[in-house]
Amino acid sequence: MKNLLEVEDLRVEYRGRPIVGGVSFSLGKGESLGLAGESGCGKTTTALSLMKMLPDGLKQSGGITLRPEGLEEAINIGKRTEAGMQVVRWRHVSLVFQGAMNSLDPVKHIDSQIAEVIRLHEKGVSSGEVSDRIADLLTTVGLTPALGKRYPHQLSGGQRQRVMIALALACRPSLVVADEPTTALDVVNQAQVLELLERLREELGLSLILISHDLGVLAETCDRIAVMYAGRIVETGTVEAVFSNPQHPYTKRLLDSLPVIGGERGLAPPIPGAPPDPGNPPKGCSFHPRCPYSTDRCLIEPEAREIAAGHVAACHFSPWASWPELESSGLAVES
Amino acid sequence: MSGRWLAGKVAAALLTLLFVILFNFFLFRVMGDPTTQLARLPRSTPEEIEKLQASYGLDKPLIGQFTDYAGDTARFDLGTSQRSRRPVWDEIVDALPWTLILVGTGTLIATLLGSWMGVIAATRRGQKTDDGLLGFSLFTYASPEYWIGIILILLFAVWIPILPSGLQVTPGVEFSSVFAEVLDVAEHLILPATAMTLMLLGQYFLIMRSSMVDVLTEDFITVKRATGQRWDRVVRKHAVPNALLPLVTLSAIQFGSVVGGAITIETVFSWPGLGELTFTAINDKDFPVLQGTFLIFSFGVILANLLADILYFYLDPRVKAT
Repeated sequence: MKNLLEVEDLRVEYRGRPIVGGVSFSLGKGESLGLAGESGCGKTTTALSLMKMLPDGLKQSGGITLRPEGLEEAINIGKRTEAGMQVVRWRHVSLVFQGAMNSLDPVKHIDSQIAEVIRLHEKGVSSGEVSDRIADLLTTVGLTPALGKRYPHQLSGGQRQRVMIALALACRPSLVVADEPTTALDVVNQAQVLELLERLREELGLSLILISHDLGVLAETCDRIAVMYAGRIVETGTVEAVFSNPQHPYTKRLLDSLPVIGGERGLAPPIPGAPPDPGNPPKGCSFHPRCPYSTDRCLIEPEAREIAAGHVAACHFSPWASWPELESSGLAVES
Repeated sequence: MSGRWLAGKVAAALLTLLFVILFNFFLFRVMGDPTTQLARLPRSTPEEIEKLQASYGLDKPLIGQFTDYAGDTARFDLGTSQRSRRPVWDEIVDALPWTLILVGTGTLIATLLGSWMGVIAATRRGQKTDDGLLGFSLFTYASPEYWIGIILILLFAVWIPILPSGLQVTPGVEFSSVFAEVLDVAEHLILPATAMTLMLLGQYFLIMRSSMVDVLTEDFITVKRATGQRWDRVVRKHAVPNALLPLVTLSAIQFGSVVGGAITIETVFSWPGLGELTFTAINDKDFPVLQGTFLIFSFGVILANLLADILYFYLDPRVKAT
């Protein structure tokens, strides 16, 4: 069976400078992929380029192929025009955006915002059918259909994000891209929204791309994970493989920064330095200036290599049998 | 609409009006005794001046004068014009429709045109169209409205004499039908209404443009575009309704400056509205008329603000929550 989504050598440039520099990944039907990384590493840019929605001035190239079920021909997103994309957006790929607070039009009822997308993509649906589907959608995401009569400001942050998910499912797309869907929510709502996404994926056979800087969120929800650094994927593999056996120093440092319950009290060791300016990346491996294990070899750009089945890392020294001990730069907290 | 909310807004408006009446009374008392202006003729005797003062009730103590004034105002009796000897109320009733026609036409066109230009500029931000509209609007915004009026007269009544330079209707003409009369008034309206429009246009444009620029960066606009809507539909259905909100507030606040503009524009075009009435009253030191027009202008501004509040209630669902 062919994959639902194939992304091949996706590049995004701004005035000739690379923002995303050659990202490739694939996603099977019903699979969920987590995109992890710091702010500014190109996660959101990658997500928006899947819908060809980059802001003016950003140019994308590379192949994006979508094969929704029941469609004879694959959709070649990479080659579609704006008009051609308008029929693909939401019908086949929808987006759950990060700002739970501002993702809905503040002066329109919830119902009318959902009805709008249904009518947009399905001509000739009766208004009775539309309202039935809205009620179904709201029930699916755990809301009472009566909430549809409300305005966004009358809902809580968690309710709004559920509405956003209902909206994303309105046209029964095969792929949902969720960009930091839980960032603006409190911990209880975060857990509930993640559970909801997980449940919907199982029930509806959705494929999901979940973007987050929060590794915990990704570990809970995703099958596979891709770690991005400076516009590239530096490591990808199953969640188990990447979390238990990281093969790129950046992934390793990210995982080390997660606090362990019952572990030593203290601040996690920070990764020294800052992510590179995407317009002016360092020579060779873009992580080497911040990498504690870097050598002269790192001035040459590393190839992405498969270390185990489906586990790929872009580091000269992978596979790492063990990680050398580092001097702890962690700041102890007086207790 | 909740009755309590509306009652609160109306009460606030009435309170403001009451304050204006109070202020209006003292303003004209502070300016001095109007009879000394009228009776400057060297031959007027002290008895005559006293008689004059008594006829205006100026011989009474201040409190008495105020209760008289407040009572008369409540009965829509605004006194008698010193110039025409007609009741001020009648003068105002005669002039008001002309001002409403002029201000209404100007405001309507400026709001529609200005917000439309604002949308065009905001969606083409940084491009030549945006620069051009911005330059044009800043120019008209910065130009005094009476100067624009004079230039318009020079252009379209003197150099290319296709439009009348003033008045509201061709004098001494018997019109064959109401339609012909309306047409004649419309012809006279073109230049002053254009001046009014140009005076207001810049601000509406600038507010709409910046409001649109703000709204277009909101997340929900990205989401609406991601739903597969055409960009012009996103702008029309989602960006504009949200960007219009500040414009409503502006129209109400603008009303004060519209009044100021009406005075100069009506004077330049000899348009027989409240503005011209005010201007002649100032020249003639016709205090009762001035007092009356001040009151009507203030009433207009207060009413405009009240209407804006009510309109906001319908436009922005978030207002209902507070």
